[in-house]
Amino acid sequence: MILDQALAILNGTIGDYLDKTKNGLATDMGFFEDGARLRLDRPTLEAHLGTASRVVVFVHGIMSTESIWRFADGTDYGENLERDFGFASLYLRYNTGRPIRDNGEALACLLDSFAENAPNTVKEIVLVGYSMGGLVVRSACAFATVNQLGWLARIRRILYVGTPHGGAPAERVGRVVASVLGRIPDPYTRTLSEVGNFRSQGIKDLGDGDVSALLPGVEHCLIAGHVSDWFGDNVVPVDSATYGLRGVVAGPSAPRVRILPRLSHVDLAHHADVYKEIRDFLEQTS
Amino acid sequence: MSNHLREVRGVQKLAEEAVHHGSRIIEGIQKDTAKRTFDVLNRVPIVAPASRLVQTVFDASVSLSHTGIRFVNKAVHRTIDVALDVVDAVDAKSGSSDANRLASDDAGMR
Repeated sequence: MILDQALAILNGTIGDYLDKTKNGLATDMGFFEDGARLRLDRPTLEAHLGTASRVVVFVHGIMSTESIWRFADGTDYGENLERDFGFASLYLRYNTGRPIRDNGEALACLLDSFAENAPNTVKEIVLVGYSMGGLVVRSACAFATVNQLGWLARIRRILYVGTPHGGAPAERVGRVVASVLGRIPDPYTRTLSEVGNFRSQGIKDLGDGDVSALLPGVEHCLIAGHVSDWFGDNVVPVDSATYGLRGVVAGPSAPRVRILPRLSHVDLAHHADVYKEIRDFLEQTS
Repeated sequence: MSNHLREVRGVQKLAEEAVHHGSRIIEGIQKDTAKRTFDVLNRVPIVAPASRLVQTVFDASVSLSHTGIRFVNKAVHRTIDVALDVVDAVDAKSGSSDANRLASDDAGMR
């Protein structure tokens, strides 16, 4: 558990380098259950999914693993959804230091394998992305659209929890600081700048977010935390997490936007208020 | 290769690369820092020839020290690589003999 967490932090920090140098510490993307990789063959999936017709896929954020979803009592959103609606859950684990686009493509391919081997009873796949995970989900959908992957037809609902659609300002500040340090003609500050720029492409991608259109023909739910007006949930500003839709008068098919007061970025991954929003959204759009 | 061994190899590789890149960075800093002093001395005509000579010797000795560090680093990690290869081979052998033993036990029971 602690080793997994340490590897997640290492992957988030320099995961693109680990991947490029084929280092054994780089995390291979996969679905995990109780810390073990879930094989995507028919018998394993039949045993894992049972007779569930709806599957919810959880995609964590940077420098974390699927353990980020755990509540203090050991449950998580997936277990609660199974109890309340009969959903089956899949928890993704991946190298968060790789470019978001690469992780999106890998997720699209993984979902393709899943859809190919999943029992025929599975009619719907719901995607839930937390923080960077939301951008990975969007990237996967964009890749699946271009490549006409079959699983996309089973997507009707997507939830984004604390996702920096409009980018994360902390990363942009880091970019400016590294650039300024690099321009100072001093070997020490230049070294500091180089060390700063060594951060992974995954982190760098968070600075820009993804302002392209959300996947059409699908119900979207955007959940943001609000601790302060300036910093949103302390990491992602509310405008970024709500795709700029805060306060916009929306029609019936517009994305659902929820801003939860006093919830920090980390809280969003495992909080009863967030679960209530997820449950309401799934109930009202079923 | 087991997951555990893959991770050990990963840590070992990362440590090797950290020392290698760290040594390159420190070498650059040491030369750049010294260059400032030498740049001043090189402008003084009376000491410039000697200063240039000292700078060349200094740069060469810094490079030599760091090349030595990187060489030893590489040698140590190659040795560890060989040791891990042996562990891997022993693991694979004991794994296959275990499997054979289980298979023969199974056949015996039948």
